Amino acid sequence: MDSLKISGTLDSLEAVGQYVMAAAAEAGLSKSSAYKLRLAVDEIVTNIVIHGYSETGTSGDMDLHVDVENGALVLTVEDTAGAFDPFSLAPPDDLTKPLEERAIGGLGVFLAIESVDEFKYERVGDRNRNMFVVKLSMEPAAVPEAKAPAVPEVKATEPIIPPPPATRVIIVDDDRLSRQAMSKMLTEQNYDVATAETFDETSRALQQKPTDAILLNLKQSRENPFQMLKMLRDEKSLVDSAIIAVASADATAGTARALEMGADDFILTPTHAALLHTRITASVNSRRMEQQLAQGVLELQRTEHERGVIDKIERDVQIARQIQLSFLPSKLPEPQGWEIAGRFRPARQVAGDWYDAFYLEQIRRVGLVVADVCDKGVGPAMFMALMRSLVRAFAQRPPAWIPPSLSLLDEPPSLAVGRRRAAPTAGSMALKSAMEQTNNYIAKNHGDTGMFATVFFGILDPATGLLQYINGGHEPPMIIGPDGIKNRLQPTGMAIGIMEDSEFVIESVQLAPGDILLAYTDGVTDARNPDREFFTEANLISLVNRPAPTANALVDRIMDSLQAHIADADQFDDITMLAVRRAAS
Amino acid sequence: MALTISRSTENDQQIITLVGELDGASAPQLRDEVEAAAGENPKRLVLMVKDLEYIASAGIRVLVYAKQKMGAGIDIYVVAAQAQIVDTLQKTGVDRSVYLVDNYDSASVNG
Repeated sequence: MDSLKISGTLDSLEAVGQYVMAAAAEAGLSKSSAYKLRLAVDEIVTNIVIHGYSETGTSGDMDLHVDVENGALVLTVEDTAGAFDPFSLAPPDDLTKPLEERAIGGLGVFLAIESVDEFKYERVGDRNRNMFVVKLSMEPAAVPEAKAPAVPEVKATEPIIPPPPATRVIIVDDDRLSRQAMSKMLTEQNYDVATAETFDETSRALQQKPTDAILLNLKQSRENPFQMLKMLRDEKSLVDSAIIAVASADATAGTARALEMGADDFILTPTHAALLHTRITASVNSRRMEQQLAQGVLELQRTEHERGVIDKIERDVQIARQIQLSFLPSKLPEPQGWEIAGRFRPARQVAGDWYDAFYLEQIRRVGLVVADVCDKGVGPAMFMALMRSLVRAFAQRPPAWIPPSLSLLDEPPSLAVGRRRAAPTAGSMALKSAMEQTNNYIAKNHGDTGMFATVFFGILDPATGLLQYINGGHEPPMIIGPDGIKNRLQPTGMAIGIMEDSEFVIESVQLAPGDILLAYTDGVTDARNPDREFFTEANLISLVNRPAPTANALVDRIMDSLQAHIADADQFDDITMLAVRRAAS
Repeated sequence: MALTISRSTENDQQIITLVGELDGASAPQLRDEVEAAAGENPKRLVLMVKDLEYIASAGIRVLVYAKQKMGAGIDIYVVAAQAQIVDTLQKTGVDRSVYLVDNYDSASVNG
């Protein structure tokens, strides 16, 4: 499929949409995958137009192209706007604008990330490159062949590599006859020869192109050759050039002085072509090697320095990792008749995922959290620490407007079986307040970073097995019974940090004796093997549909299978799981 | 395919019909319509979206804006949304603050 070059304006969105749909059709994507790819590209292209070009008062094009490789469709969008990472896109002044005028920001990026198998951003030279990867479900053999990259045709008669440029030599000599003789000899041997009579002429010749060697005649009648030698040797740009003194065989007195002053070698005239060539080549090569050696030493020193810096960063990251691990519960609650198991395996030293389990209302309720801050690395890890603490603190300390006489959880929840929409009771206040306040805090204070987190937060009543929950855009947790998955807890609100005042609905579900609640992050389903194939949700579902005696046995089974899948591949995303099992009665 | 919007008033309800694609380029049109609709102080806002083929986050934002503009007491109905659009509404949690219905009879509402 051809590339598309189109101006970076909102009017182009429609054509971009058509291009993506055509590419999706050609690659045989399903209707649903095609729509999602289009959505992802549309969101990012809209961001490029608005934030990359329009808001900065610049204009430019966007280039789209499609490759089908390794069983995946890869759509690339490039633009020439200033460096612009969608993960950190909202300009700071954005937050002062009314909600409806604000940047598409986190919501668009959220949809983009959620809609394709992989989304990547990189800055390449002066261009932004956004890549969207959609895995093709058909067998690789059936995939339309990707166009071979355009390799320029090479004709046999044309040399592929141009011949090395001729050695450039400047002959500095104010005697016309000896200058011409030397020049003729070198030109015949394919040297690139320039001549000069004075220092000024030499300087001009040097500026024309890089020079390998200067042949300086020590017998000059107009200028002092030793002074010329000193000035040439002092010239920093000539550090790579050899200087060879030329003296008459019957007047060799000056050669020793010339060598002392920095000449690389000397030649006595008359000489003959082969000897001249040998001496020049030797001088040029030795000068080059010297420089390469000096360069090498410099690089070595720099590497040593960088290694020191990297060591320091690595130590800092290790400390960050220790601190981050302290944000995970060191001891999980053990309410009677329940088993809680958590697993956490960051893709890098630090991660954006977290899980949490903590008592509320003395020990009458248990808060359960699994969450995933977009992206991975140090930035998301800082958000993880902040959000985890906010959720906990807001859940444990409800806002002041709840009458003190009303205990948070006093109202007994009705024991409806299965899923139902819960009326907002006092019992659900902690849940709602924690999610709303955390969301508003992040959106208000950190909206300009474009960070958001998908958060599942449930409050379990161990006595009855009732789980009230809010799912903020998170991978739907599973309720697993003896016969497999009973239901999935779909999102009841948007991911946290995207938009102020977004609404979170509380739902509830009943866990029967023997049921397991499994919440996890998409690092599980998106884990890749060395061939870059996903673990997939289908695989996870088949694992959990086999009965597990304990919550720990279930998460261990999944971890083992993940480990076997990932093998020695790079772990792509953080892996986090929380399983809660009600003992069979 | 661009976006075509029409708006009518029926029985104290504002009915907005959307045909085509609601993206970053066309969302401002809808926002203008929502503002006009809010100015009529309706009892409900009803969006007929059977022939809406596409919705981007810019469109989602207008829905959230509509909810805020109308106030908590005014319900918003989204009628006959296509599967992909329902999917996006669910993913962003907007389905929890509007009513997603297959059919809507404006005459059935008691004015």
